[in-house]
Amino acid sequence: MALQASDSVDAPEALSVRTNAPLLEAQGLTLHRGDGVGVYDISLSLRRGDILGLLGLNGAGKSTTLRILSGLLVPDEGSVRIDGFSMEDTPLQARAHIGYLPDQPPLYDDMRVAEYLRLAGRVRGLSGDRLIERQARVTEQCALGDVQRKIIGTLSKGFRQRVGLAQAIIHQPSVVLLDEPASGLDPQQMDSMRQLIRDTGKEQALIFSTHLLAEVTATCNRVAIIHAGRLVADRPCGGDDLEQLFRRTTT
Amino acid sequence: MIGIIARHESVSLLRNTQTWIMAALLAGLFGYQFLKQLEAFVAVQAQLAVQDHPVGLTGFMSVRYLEPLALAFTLVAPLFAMRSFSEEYRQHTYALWQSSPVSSLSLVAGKFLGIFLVLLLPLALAVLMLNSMQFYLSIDWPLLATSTLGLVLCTAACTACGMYFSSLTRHALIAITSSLALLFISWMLGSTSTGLLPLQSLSSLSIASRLRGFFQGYLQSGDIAFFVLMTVLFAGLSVIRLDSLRQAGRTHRLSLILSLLLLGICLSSGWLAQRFSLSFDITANQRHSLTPTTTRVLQSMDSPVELIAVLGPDPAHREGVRALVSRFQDIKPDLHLRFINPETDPAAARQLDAAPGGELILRAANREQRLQNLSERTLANSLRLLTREGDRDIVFITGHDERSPVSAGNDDWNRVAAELAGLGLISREVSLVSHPYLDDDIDLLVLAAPRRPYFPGELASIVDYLARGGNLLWMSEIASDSPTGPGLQLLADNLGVDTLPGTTIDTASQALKAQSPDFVLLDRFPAHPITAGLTSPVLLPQAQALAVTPLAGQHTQPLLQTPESSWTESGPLTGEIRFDENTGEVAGPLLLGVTIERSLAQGTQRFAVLGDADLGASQFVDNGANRAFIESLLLWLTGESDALEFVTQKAADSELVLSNRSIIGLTAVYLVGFPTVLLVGAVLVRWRRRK
Repeated sequence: MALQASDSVDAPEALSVRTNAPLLEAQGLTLHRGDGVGVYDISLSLRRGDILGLLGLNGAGKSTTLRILSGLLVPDEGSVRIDGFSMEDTPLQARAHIGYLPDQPPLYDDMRVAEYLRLAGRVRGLSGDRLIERQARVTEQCALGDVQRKIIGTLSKGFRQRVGLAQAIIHQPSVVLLDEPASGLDPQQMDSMRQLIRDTGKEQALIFSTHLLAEVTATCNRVAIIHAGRLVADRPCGGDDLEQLFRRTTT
Repeated sequence: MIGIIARHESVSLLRNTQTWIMAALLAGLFGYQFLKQLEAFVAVQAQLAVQDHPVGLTGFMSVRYLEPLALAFTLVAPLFAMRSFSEEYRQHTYALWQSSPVSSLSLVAGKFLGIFLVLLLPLALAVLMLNSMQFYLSIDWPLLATSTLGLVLCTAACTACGMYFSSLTRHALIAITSSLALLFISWMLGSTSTGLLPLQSLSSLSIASRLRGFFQGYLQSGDIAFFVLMTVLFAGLSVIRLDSLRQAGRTHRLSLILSLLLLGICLSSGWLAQRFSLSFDITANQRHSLTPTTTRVLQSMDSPVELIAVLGPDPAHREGVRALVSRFQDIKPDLHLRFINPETDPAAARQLDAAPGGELILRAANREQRLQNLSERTLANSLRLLTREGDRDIVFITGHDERSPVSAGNDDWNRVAAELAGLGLISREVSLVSHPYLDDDIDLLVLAAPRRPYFPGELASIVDYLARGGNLLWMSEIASDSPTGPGLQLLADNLGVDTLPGTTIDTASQALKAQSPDFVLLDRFPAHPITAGLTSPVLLPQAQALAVTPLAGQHTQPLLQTPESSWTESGPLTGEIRFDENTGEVAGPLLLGVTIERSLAQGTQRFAVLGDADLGASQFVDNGANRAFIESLLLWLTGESDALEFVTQKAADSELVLSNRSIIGLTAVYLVGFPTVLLVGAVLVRWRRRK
């Protein structure tokens, strides 16, 4: 690295201290938007090992919520704390502990996969041996070994999604936020994505959004239902009444 | 972090084939422009070397080669910057930066640096070409450094501007169009000549005029501040814009206030920087500094001087006048300059009787000087004449029907004499009958074409005056009134100058439709300090040619000479007039004026003999350069014009000799070599990405 910038934030080290403090705490998030897709008074708390499925119809406010949690949007009211860091007061530290995969993966089509992952790692403060080690690890985790040297623009939708996930977890963030990670994937790709999510969620707190109930039941241990910008349910996953609850709360 | 982002940005630009193709085009343009201007320099280097403030190769190429390249970089920088953010928005990759621990400031700084570093490559190539001239002569390094600084600062500012517009939209085309429009307006601000006041005050925001000083080696802290502030402004606006992206769906009132605040801070800092701007003459031969001669003249002046520039509204012209005068004002603060625009205030211009092409009028106490050709030398000379102590006494002999400096006849010299008084040359008439002794204090004696003969005693008085070292202007006219002429043969023998019979006819002048066949127009003059500054022809009606016999102990120099198309016509001036050798007519070139100098113990004695007195007559003095010629002649005769010896430092890089091999080598490398290498680079990049 040629220059060392002043605001680089240390990557979160391997999670050595296992406390049960919440990794993500959101309180009363409200964002009024002119176009109507706002969110109102959303509170969430996630601990290590939580895999939360954020369930809602299209336009319910799932993406907006994830954008607020990842720091892309500043809420009108409410606060977000990531691993103890306030998104408002210490945004850089808070964002250092976040891995975010938007609905459109942020991929440079003209880069090779390996180049791109190296950039993603560097931007999150990884360097030297640790960068090499983490890059090798996520390449293996996301089964990208065969496409490492390929130009991203030539990859299939499934691989693109996996590269997107790899960039989100390369720095072992405390909180992983995935916006509809399985959309557009074929059943086989969807299966491997689910497995990836389950693996990732073991060590971290993970939220992914979806409008498919089956996604949630297959992967999550918690479910939160969002409707018209409001959180209408937040409970452990399981039980037969989930579908009924989803129907009831979203109509 | 800034380094990581900069590297990413540079590498993505260099991964792009278009970048390499554009670099190849630029290299071709640079090479062509460089060789073209180099050729131009070789052609004019001899003329440049003899100027008051000689411009060498570095100075010439800085203005003719590097300065136009600034425009190229103004266009190219936004092209390179247009994708910086637009492309990220379009490809949805901006979320990577937004969700990472990267501040907007780092992101903007990193991207700016990345694009800027790539742009520095063609810029370095452009400078390298000029730099390579060091193998042929010694380059003016400080000047090359300031020119490079100008290019670098301009490129940085334009990059920041392009980046800002890119941060506003996901459409790169809109970004590039808007930034080019803004930069284009900023260039044009400098060249406006509408005379509208608001536009003129905006000219300080002109990139073109801000750049000028860098390429002339005249470094001004205000200019540096302009480009630095422009860069800071656009980079700052980009940061504000990126931060506002996190405020989705809300009114961007805060961003607007912050942007206006930043604009206000930059504008006021710019104003302050301009107000307290420091200037430095960077050129090796101190081209922009006043010569010791001018400094001495200014320091010896006591009284205040008013300078009235009657000049159109063109800011470039006015700036030129203002810049020169301000250098004089640094030493003599009581020079007061004001402008009169003849277009908006024709009455004032008419009252001053200003020349149509613009004129600088200098006024001090009761004297006045006029300048149409402004340079350090002419201004210093005029100031010295304007404010020097005492007047010069010029005596016109009267009593033989001479041209009078007092009477207001068509043939008389009263108009020109009144103007000469403004120079401190005071003319009066003296009759040798009542004042036979010509005083030693007389600075110049004028015999203005006498038509009646002198008495022997009168002639003796004149010869006696000359023997005592007095200066003389003797003008003769075709003696139509008296068959015997004025009887000044003794004087002619004394000086070794005689008149030839007949009227001077010049067919070349006839081609110019001179009013009468015996009018001669001269626009080429033998090398002489009197005619050195003349820019228009001199009109000589009915002139008489001179025959010169070189005498020992005196230095005779031709002053006015007709071309070969002339002869002395002895016949009548009607019908077809042609040269006839058999009647004793003499063919051109003919001398119509000479100067003679004699070295005496008390100094140099000066004479001028002219075969014409009409050139200063009230009816002809307004023609061509007649007035300027007479002023210059009289100043020379009275020893006024040679007090100022301008010694300027020559440019070390004023002589360039290129062998044919060198020219072929330079052309091969700069026009063909560099662009080819860059095109090969484009092919390689494409091939590598395809593999």
